[in-house]
Amino acid sequence: MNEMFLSTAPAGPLTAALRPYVIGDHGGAVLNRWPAPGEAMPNHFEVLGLKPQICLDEAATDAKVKALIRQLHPDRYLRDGAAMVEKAQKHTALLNDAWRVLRDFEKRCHYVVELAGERPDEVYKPSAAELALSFERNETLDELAEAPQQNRRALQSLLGELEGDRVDIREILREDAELWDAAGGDPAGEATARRRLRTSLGRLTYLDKLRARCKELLEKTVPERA
Amino acid sequence: MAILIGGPAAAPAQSELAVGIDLGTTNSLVAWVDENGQPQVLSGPNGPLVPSVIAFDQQGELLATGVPADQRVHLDPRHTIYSVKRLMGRDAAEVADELVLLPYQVHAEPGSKAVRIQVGDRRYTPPELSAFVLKELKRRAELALGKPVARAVITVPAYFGDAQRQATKDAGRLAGLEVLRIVNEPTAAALAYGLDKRPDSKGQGSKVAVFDLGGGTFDISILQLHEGLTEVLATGGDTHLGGDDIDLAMVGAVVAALRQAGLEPAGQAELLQRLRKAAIALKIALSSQETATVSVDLQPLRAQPLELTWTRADFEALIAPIVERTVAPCQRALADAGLQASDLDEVVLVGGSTRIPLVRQRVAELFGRPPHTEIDPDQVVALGAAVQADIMTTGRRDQLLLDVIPLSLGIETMGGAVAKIIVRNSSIPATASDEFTTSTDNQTGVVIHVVQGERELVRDCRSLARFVIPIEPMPAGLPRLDVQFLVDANGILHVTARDMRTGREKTVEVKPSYGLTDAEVEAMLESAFDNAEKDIEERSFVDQKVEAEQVMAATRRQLQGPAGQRLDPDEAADIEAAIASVRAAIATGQVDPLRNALNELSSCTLHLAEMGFATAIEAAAKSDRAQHALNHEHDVAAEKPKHHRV
Repeated sequence: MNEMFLSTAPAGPLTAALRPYVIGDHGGAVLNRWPAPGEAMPNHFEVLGLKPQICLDEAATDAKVKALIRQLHPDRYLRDGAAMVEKAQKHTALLNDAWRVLRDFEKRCHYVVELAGERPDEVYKPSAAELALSFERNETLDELAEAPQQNRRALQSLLGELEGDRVDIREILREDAELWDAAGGDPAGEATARRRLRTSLGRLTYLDKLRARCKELLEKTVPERA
Repeated sequence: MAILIGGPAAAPAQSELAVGIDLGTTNSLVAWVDENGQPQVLSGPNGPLVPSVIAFDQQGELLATGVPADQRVHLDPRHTIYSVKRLMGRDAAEVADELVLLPYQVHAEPGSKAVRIQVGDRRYTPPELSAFVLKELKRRAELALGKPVARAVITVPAYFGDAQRQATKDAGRLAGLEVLRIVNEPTAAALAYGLDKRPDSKGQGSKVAVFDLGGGTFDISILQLHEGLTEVLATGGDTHLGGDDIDLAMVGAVVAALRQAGLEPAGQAELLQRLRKAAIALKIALSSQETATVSVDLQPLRAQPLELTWTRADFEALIAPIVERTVAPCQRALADAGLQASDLDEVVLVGGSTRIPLVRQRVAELFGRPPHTEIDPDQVVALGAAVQADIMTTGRRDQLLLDVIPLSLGIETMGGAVAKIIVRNSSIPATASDEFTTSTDNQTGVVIHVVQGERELVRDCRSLARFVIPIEPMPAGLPRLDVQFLVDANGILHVTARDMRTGREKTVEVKPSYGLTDAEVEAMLESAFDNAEKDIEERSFVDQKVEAEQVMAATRRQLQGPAGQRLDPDEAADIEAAIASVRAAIATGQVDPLRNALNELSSCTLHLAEMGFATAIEAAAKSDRAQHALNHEHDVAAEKPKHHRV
């Protein structure tokens, strides 16, 4: 954790994030210190004063982030000169960027994996059965693509199948995330959880490509008359 | 908020007033927040609306803006420009469809993607034309407030792309306004209603749909408002749907009926404009009446005027397909926001076309609740823009408008694919960074192409900017450039590139791919200034010429009168020579030689004038007309042209 953003690691989300943003004499909030050139920027969890955990209360965090943005938004500093506006802008952007990446469950899963960087031993390798299924579905889509309107029903049923699979994998991803959160910083536990996260996210990526193609074909069709 | 491209924004000045402007397709308005904190629309002699119409003379010089220009729409359709907003920030290919509907000429300039409107001998860009409307609003505000107005918040449809927003900003600059912020019209409407301050039901803030059917554009926005914070959840719409379409459909129906009667109005520009005015009158009447009648002069097709009587049922049958086109964008926006209609807390109506009962009925069905109509739908956007101007300049409001990027920002990668760096609906300010390297040995620069849009391929997105970051030549793959993109609260894109090997930072100047470059705007401002100088000079030449002709006529009279008969022949010859040089000076068309020649003539006629005065006194002694002669002198002086303020 970056010290300048979190002098003491707090239990609750965001209370720590308020620390570096001290109330200035003009009535607004300012960050007490910006990382020096060459100094690492805090990661998105750190910016928001969150533990690097995937499961969190999104509505409550959203409200807290917004409260902070309301303090830091450049529009509040328009009368305080260009330097203050720029400062406020940097801080607001930092918060916006962090929350953009962390506001959604799947994005948090991706981010946790991304923070660990590339790990050759954790690369997702689809099983032979998964590859076969994916290949078969692609072939089906190729056939259906020749006449999307005539194959509208078949496309809808394939999409339904894919959506169903997605719900199942999301369920597994939820378990993977809980496993990660439970590891609580233990390197071995985190590596195991991460491997599982990478697998589930990889499967979702394959699935989403098929879904996107299917949806695109369906958009070219019009509903049949009843 | 779209991505605009430019340098750092100047900090706003402290003292001057800031106004809110709704720059509409059909009408525009200006509003301010008064001393008591109440937003007010600033009205002129003809009411609050300034028609977004600009009238020119045959040469293409400006004649009038607003109401007087609107009155010329059917008198001189080729030189009277309206619906400029439809052309803002769009290229020739994009506007091709509507050119057939506009009576004025639009050209694509070679080598430039922006279109030009040909008026007489001159060509204007859409931002220049909009600037005339903005100047009129600025003038109106200054007249009403008695103070200079140099700053404004200007609204645009939420659906406007980047180039269209940039063009709007350029128009502001050309009108001498510092554009504090470009705000989405529906967001402004929510601000005007103060919906952001309403106590919310679920502790999450209220969700508001703003349905804006104006003259030329339809927008639907889903906003989330809480505790002085306004977030745009989703936007959608159609930049080609509005009251103009209704007018066109009505004119089309009338034209079809005329054809059935064996009359062909095609090519009759003035008649078509009269039909358009009549259609608008019918449309407005049918919002409050079940039946309406208007009479249209059918000259030159026939002498007898056309009596048009429509029932509301006729009208609604005709426009139902147009109203229906609002449905899909609404549903898509709801889906984008991840909401059902029942999740909405409020629905707000904006735009004159929402006065149509069928529109209100359809909106109520669509969202399952009666919409807000308390504030005049024509004024609500300008009032909200004024509130935003007040927020940004006075600090007396604890309100904040959080805006988002309406379209994703991406960069071109190998093979013409798009890598999204900031996805749409991200709150701004926002940043993103990406690392770049070279693919060929000794490359001296890296080309970065920024695009806007949701599609996967560059060719399907809109090119926003293309720029080169220079680097030291070295083997391929060795340079490491960290490029930071910052979209500030004004939606302006700033790019900083850092050489990871040397740590050297470089701020890159980003040039927009569409619209006007900074240099072009500067050139236009300069040419407007040059023209103003020229205009003043021309005006004083005309004044001098009028004066010269009066002086010459008076001199001629005196030469032929009794005083002239007594004048020394040499003196008379001098005067004749001086008159000749005044004539020559008039021929040059220049004010300075004319002024000199006129001074010369005045000095040689001094003696003649004295003699003339003496002769008049003498004559008066005899005929008691001295007083009359003096009065006559006085009259001549009073006839001297007054210098007009330019």
